Amino acid sequence: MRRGDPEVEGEAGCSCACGAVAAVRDVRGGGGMCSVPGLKADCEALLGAFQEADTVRFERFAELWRERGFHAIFYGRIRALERNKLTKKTLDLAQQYFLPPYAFQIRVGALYLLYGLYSVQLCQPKQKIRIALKDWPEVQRFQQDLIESQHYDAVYIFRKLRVARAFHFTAMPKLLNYRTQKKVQENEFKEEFKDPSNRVNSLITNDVLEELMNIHDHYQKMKCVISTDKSQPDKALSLIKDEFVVSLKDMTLEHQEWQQKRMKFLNAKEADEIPNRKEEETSLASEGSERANALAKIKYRSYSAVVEASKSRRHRQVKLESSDSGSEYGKSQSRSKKNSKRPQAARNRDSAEIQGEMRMTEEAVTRHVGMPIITEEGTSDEEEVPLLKRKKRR
Amino acid sequence: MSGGGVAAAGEVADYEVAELYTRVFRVGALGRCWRQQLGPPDLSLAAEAEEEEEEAAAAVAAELGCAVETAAELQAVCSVDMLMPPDEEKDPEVIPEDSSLLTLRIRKKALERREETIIVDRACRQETLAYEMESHAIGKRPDNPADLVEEGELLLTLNIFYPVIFQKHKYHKPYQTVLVLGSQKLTELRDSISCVSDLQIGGEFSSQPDQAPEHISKELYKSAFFYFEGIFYNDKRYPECRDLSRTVIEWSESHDRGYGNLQSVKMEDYTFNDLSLRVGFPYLFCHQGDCEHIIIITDIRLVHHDDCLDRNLYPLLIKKHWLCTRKCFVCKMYTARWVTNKDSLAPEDPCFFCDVCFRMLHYDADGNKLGEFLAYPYVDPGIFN
Repeated sequence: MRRGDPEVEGEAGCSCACGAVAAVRDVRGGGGMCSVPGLKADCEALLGAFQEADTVRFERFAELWRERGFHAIFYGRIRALERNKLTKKTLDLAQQYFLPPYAFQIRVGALYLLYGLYSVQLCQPKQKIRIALKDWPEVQRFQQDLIESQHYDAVYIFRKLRVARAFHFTAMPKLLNYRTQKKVQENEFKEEFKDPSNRVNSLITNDVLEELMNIHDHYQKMKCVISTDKSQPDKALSLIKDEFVVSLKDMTLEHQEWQQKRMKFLNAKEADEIPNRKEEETSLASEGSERANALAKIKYRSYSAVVEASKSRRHRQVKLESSDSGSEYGKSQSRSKKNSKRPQAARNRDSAEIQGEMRMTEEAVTRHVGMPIITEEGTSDEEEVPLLKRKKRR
Repeated sequence: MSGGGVAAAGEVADYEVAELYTRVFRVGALGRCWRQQLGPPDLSLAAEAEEEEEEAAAAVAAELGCAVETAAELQAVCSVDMLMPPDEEKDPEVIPEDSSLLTLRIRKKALERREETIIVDRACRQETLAYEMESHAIGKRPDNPADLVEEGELLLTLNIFYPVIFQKHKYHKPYQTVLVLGSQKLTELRDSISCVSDLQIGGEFSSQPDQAPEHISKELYKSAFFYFEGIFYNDKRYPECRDLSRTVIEWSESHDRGYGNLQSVKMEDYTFNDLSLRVGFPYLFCHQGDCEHIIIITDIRLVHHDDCLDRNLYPLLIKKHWLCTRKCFVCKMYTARWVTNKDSLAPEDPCFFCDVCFRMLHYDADGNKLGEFLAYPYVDPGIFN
């Protein structure tokens, strides 16, 4: 009963301004549509400027927003259908910067950006911001961080959005339409927006190196005990490179220095000298040199008393300012610095989570690996050797 | 703040193939997880107050854990007014002249180009229709409060593709978009799918044109099934319904074809909350024995107070592909209702006629058949426009 394929077949061939057939085809709903031209550049410019301003205050963001005239981002003679589509795409783009792996400051900037875009949109009823269930714990953690750091403006704004029911609570962040043909738009993250994703450093941390050192020492000691000459292990027992911990540490340091040089090079290459950049570079450099110091200290551990490795954030203590109005600002300033220098956030994970997991692994090592001790008489006991001096972690 | 760990990892939807489709998860579990994470104000479906009053600073202070003065300061500093320029005339139709935004500069150029090339710049009927469909049910509330959608209900967005009738549809597949509630049964969706093959009338009626459309296929062949993740959901509400999936299951079991256990259950026993499926993955709806529609669930989310809140309107059609209808060959005005083959009176084969022209051409005043031809009632795919 199916009719044959006819010669005459028309689609919506209207001559009006809706973009005719193309529009009918493009209005196919779902993520992965062609993006709004110029929007990514504008948003990244705004977020970049916010990052350089090195603050998380909404006032500053609002200034930058007003400077650029962002309130007009939805202006133009656009009809309702097109405007809905445009607004959805805009919110979708901004929402991506709100989640990891972006740096803390960028994420706060994205929150403000979402607030701004949601408030100035012209659609009636307003288009909503989508949050997926898989991202919700991350958002919660972010909120918690903001509250603890007393960034009240950010907390207030998120709460305001929530009270206004500006969110759609979804299964996935984008609509999925099984578009295998359409090339998935690679959202190339700006390198500067991410925390320098430093997988080497996240794997070989101070603690890991310390632990390796401990185990290595213990191993050496045990080899000595069972050897004929008590002061050094038998030749037959030398199965590993003795200096491997030190060379590992050296390699890590080298890698880190290389990365910093590369970052500096990229920064210098990109824009003209902006005064803020220098600040950023020096602070980056100082962070790097601190880590270098920390690792160097581990190297000389055997000759000196144990020095608590300085974490990159240690120097940035919360300082209490004297004046009233400045106090909150001061606190949050230093706190924000602290947070923005969060080290080694691996992709898609909060560093706190990683640290938590690292802690757990360390604990697991301590508890479950009972390091056997070989006593003089040759019997081996199972004994818990405190492998790691618990470091207070912030 | 609410929010301990989310439920077991297997229950949280996440990509299986990045940006394409997700792992399998239970729809109902998603709803449950979200409801656990959120509080009553997030889930509330109450209509928005006309003027959003600023909450008392004290309430804000209490929740944020700060001083009341800080809260008041926050309300001032973070208000929307801070985002607007102080004194400018704000006309949303006009793009500011000296905008520094790349987006606006590009848009301005595009608009200027449009102004030059297009004589009359208004919405065509397809655009009007598309917009109407998308927005006609927004915020609708039922008269009867029993018909109100519940808070925390899940809303699924499905793309139901048309069966491939025209060759060009193989490359750009047209579809309709339907919203369903999580608590609705599969049968409700099945009843709402309007497909042209349901209206087909079998048989040749050249000798008795008046007796034609009595039994449309929809009434004759009632069987149908959905296929989601290895389970066939068959419509078994009527005695005439047969298990169309049995053929597939038997085929799969006959040899080790690597399809695992395919099951067959009754469609009317399941709601969408009961299903386990992936978002973004193509599934199947089959009816009339061989009319197959691909179904993709593009989105699942919690219902919002701006959505349509009248249960009776769901499944809700919000998008439809416009197909031009074929017109009568003679008058070129009315949609074709008859098609003839081997027609000595017609200039082409097959040839389409509206009812009036068909009778005028092929039958004399007494209703006798003139000439040789075969005539079939025709239902145009564009009939649902």
